[in-house]
Amino acid sequence: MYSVAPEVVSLMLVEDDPGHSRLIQKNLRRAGFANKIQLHTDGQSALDALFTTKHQNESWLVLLDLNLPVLDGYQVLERIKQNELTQKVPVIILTTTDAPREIERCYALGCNAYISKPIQYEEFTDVIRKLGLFLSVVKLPDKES
Amino acid sequence: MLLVTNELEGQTRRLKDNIVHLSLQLKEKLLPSSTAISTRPTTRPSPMPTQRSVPGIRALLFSALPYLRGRGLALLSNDGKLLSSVGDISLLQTHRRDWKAKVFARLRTQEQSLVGSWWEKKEQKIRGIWAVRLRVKATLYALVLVFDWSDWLCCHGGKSVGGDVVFGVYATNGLHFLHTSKRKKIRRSHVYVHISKRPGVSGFEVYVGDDGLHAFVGWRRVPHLAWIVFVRSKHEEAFLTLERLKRRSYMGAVLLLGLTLFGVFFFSRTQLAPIEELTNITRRIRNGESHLRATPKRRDEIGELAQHFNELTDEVMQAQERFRTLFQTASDAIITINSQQEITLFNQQAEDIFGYTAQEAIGQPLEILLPENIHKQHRHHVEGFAVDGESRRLMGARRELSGRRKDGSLFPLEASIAKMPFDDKFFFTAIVRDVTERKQAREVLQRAHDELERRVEDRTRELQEANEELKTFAYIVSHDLRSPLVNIKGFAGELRLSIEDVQQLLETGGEDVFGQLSFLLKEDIPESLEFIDAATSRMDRLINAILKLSRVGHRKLYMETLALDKVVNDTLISMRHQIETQGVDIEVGEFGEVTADPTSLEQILGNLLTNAVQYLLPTRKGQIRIFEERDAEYTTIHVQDNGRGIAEEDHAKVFQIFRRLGTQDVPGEGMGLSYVQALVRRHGGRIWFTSTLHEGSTFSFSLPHQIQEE
Repeated sequence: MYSVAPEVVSLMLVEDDPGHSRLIQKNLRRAGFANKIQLHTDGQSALDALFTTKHQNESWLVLLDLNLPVLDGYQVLERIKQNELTQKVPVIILTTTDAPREIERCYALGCNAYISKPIQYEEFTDVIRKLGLFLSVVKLPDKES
Repeated sequence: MLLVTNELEGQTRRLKDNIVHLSLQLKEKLLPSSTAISTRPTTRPSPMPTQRSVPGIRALLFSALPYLRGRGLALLSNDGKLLSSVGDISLLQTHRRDWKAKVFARLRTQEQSLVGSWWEKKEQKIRGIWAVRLRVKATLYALVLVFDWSDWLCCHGGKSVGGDVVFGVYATNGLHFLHTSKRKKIRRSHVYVHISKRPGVSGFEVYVGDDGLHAFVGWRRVPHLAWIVFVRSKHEEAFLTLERLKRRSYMGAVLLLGLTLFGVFFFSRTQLAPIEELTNITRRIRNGESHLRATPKRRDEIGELAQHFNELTDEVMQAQERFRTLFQTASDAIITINSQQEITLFNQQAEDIFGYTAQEAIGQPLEILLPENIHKQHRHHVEGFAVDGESRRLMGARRELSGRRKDGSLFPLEASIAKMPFDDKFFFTAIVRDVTERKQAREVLQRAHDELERRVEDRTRELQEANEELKTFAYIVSHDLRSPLVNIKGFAGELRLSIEDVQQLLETGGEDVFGQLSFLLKEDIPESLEFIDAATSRMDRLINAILKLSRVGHRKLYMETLALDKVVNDTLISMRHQIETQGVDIEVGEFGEVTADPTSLEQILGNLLTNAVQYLLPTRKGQIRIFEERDAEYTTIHVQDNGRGIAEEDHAKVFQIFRRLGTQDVPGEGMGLSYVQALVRRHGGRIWFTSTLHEGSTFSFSLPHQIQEE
């Protein structure tokens, strides 16, 4: 279903650990995800980018870590989901913890999916690969709607 | 005396009545009703015995018997036979006498209708016979009445029979028989002629005879016989007994009076004097001479009375002593009041509680012991209690009561009140207890309880906070330790992939093998190795930081009394370079001494001051102020800056390990404040902050004056 023009969808990766972001990008590319990936290492810059580029008619999907400096993942998630302009932007939490408390809290704040980073490399690459495949087929809401 | 006379007069009157009554009775018996019937055969046919047969006569006798006061009637023939009899005629002939023979002897010799009468007086009784001649068809018979006048004569006192008593039977054809007690000649015509003229069946009168003497006559007509039975007695004779009795009564009265006077005298001497003495002693005992006792000199009732009096007095005294002891030594105040609510008793404890002496209190209204605002209500309450059904009541059950001391001060009390009826009123006993101490103790206890509860709450909250912190800590540590682990594993995997690529290139070859190998070996593989190296270092740092933090809890603290200003100055000197570079104004307040571990205190101050200096706003000149506050338990040190501040939403994360808030333009692991917090807590203190974003922060920590042993 490439008719949905997935190339229009841009991925915003918010990750403060350079190693993690490198691994994620590598594996996404390896899975065939060819769209634009924008990296932010703190929450505030990600939000700034999201609110400014919103007006450039670009569709975003946010891949968000929780433990971030300046503004952490929860704060970023909350602001995206509370703002009318950005509340439809899909947010996928990708973080190291799998504590039920955190998962519940993120969904309560409005995240669209929660994925925990496996420590084992094979699993990690597998998760990212599947995520890449998913991202390739995902259909986003119409901005005008 | 008057009483005695009255009594005598009464007796006399009763005696007179009695006599009259008896006479009437006698008259009734002697003279039955029905008018006199003529016995003369020539005048008209009549039931005369002369014209009747013997059985007819007998029937007549029977019918006449109830009218005659006698024992019996007998009909005798002229040849000495008893033809017929009614009632008891045993008197006619006994072994001592033979009145029957006398009747026969005279029956033929005399022409008179009355054969004769014989009587005897014996044992104050008069018994006798009257015999009358009857002629029936030329045959002579004797009709005999056997009589017994005992009752009548007895009533006359017996002895008076010696006087002029006349009794007889008067028939219309002449006097049949007449008897006088003295065998005196009686002017026969006078009395019976007088009676025969009297109309009616019976009569009773005082008759004045032709001799001018007063006589007492009762009479009655006997039916069928044309007889009038009568009795006459001289007036003096009739009332002789009475007069005599009267005289005796007067004498008796005088005697009785004398006796009475003597008796009274005797009684007062023997009986009243000891009673007088008892009365006297009772009065003296009542006036306080409680040792006095009666002297029982006699063995009679009076002596016994004195004995009982003494026993009773002893009991009363003992009871009084018991009561007095109880009353005075009771641990509660005992107050009695009368129905006017005036104090009548006031014991020692009441004196102690209220400050009045018993002398002052007694006679005063109860209100002196009560606060003014409840006077009216209390009086009303007691009055209500008086008419109420219950006999005792606990006062102040619903609300707290107060008493008022002599000096006007009020105190809490507990009281119960009992009522006792006295005449038609009540008096009341109140038992009062001062509960000031109990109330105070209860308040102290309540305060201690509240304090304990507060401390438990504090402690619980601290524990909950600690627990929460521990959870957060575990979460953070697990997250932060996993992050580098992901990198190590991840880039190890990448490394393996790169090596596989290298191996494949070496084995299979292909286009631009060198270029690809060069990229892998120069870019890819070193990158992975770098990441692995960085992650390992980071992990090492994190582990060291955690260890450092955990060591705070184990490290031995060496508590010393430190001059705080020296510690602050030393810290500032060590930071001099930083401070000068940033161009910060430092204001240092006055400090006293604190008890702390010197190394720990330097670390705490160093961390807080470094943070203050590092996170200033570049747009304005930094100002940092260090000062202390002291209270009874703690010394509190404040580090105040005008730096960038902390956003409200980040306040919760300030003391969390590995958390670095705001713009990350200063290197650090994010554990300084966690460490400081741990150190402060080891000292038994507390650390907190107030902060507004873009305006500044004040970090404060308190150290206790008394270090608690762990």
